[in-house]
Amino acid sequence: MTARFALALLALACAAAPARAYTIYVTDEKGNTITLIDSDTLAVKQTVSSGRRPRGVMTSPDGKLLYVCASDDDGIQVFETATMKLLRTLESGPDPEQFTMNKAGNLLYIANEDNAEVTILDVVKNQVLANVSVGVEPEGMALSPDGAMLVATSETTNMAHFIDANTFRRIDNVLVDKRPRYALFTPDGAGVWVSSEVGGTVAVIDAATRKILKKLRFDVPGLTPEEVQPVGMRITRDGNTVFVALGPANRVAVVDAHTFEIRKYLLVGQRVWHLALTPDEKHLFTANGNSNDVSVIDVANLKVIKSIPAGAAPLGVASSPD
Amino acid sequence: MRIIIPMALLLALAAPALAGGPPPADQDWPCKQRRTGAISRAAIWAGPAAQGRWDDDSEAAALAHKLASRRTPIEEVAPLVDAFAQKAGGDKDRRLTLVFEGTLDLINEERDKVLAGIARYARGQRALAAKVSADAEKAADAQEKQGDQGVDQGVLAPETLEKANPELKWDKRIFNDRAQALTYVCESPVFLEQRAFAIAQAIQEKL
Repeated sequence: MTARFALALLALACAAAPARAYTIYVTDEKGNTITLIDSDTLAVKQTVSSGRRPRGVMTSPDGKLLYVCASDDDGIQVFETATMKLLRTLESGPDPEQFTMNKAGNLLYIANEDNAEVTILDVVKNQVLANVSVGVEPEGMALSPDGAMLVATSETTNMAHFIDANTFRRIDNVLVDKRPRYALFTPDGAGVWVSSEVGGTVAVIDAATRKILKKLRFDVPGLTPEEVQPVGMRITRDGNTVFVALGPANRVAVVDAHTFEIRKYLLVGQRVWHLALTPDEKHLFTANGNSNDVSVIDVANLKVIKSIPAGAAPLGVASSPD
Repeated sequence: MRIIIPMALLLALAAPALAGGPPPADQDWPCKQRRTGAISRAAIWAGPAAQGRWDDDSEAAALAHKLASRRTPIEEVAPLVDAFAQKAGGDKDRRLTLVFEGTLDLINEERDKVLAGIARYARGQRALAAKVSADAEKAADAQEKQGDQGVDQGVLAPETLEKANPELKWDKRIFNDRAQALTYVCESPVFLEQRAFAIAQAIQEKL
């Protein structure tokens, strides 16, 4: 059996494998719950109470823990995913909104909206390692794939702050359009995408030179520019496609990450905030704050296939890992 | 001292409205949500374009009024739309589109009024903040004059100022109460947007 033939067989085997069931976790700002959805059956499995105003949400890299920003309780709650029992609440600093985690799963990087700081928290020791001051109302947080660079966006100062993730020193600030809310590294670490909610744009920044390479605008037919408010984003693992949630445009834009061409606008639920891709990239889930549901997008066909009720004012959404 | 007290008061008063940031560019818009104009059709509707005017079809117009009214519980929307669709028969899609058009126009009309109300609220708060600041400055002036005449400077504490000037205390209280209501005030256009979206969904399901 040649190596090429073996590879072909392997590819076939992968293609034929049934879809894996992941768990999708949805936080709702006004219901104070976490809704768990089965990514295969697309049914709600469980609803769990959380702290007040749950927003940012993500699992640990091994999938055993779920981290939830309980913004109005000034803490980050840690749930055991197997039982959905609350294990503990971490000292995050005031009003945590969004966060990201390193690959080792021991450090959380938290945007604390109220005190203009990024908090780096050792989750094992529940100990703050550093507070880095950034612009007013930090929100978006992203860590480069190699773990060396951290990006925080500040909603009021309108900047993307580049922070050395080893020394916790701020090394650069890039001015972007109004109210930047989300930052996303491309899988190769070369680019950082920053969405500006009020500016209505997405800036693509060269991570090495910190120059803006491209500013994307979204002309959705029939909508006013004010209705287009880019927020959450996700990128496919091959780095080819970026999905951008457009807030009250009730659309998700599908963008070619290389040519920056907007391939499609998908009509989802009302006021779409954040997005989650299943690790097999079969489905994209969107948290819709005003229609109180999650839209499910079939990624291969770029079609919205279902709406699933998810509490009151859903905002954050995350998938369990592979 | 004369300058510091009113400034500190003004800042403390303005803080809840501004949520920690610099003043928003649009002074008449106190909400965190970006102000958007009328709800666009395309934001909530993937159905066909309307043919004709919705108010020329009296039945469609009557249903649009009923659906748009907040007195109609949202659970009643689907059955009402369903009944209309059945009656409309072969002309269903065209007439349901007119119902949607009418509903959206009526809700946008109401939303316009709500937005104007929010702007009035913002102007009221600004005027009140300025009045509190001016009153506090006046009171501080008066007390400072007393200070020049040998009265203890400690009387310039904000509590002492408020005690000596009850109006200042009331204005401050009104301001704070209103500032606390801000979240609710800012949510009111959202309720209308939600209603428009839910009705659009219910109608589209029948196309």
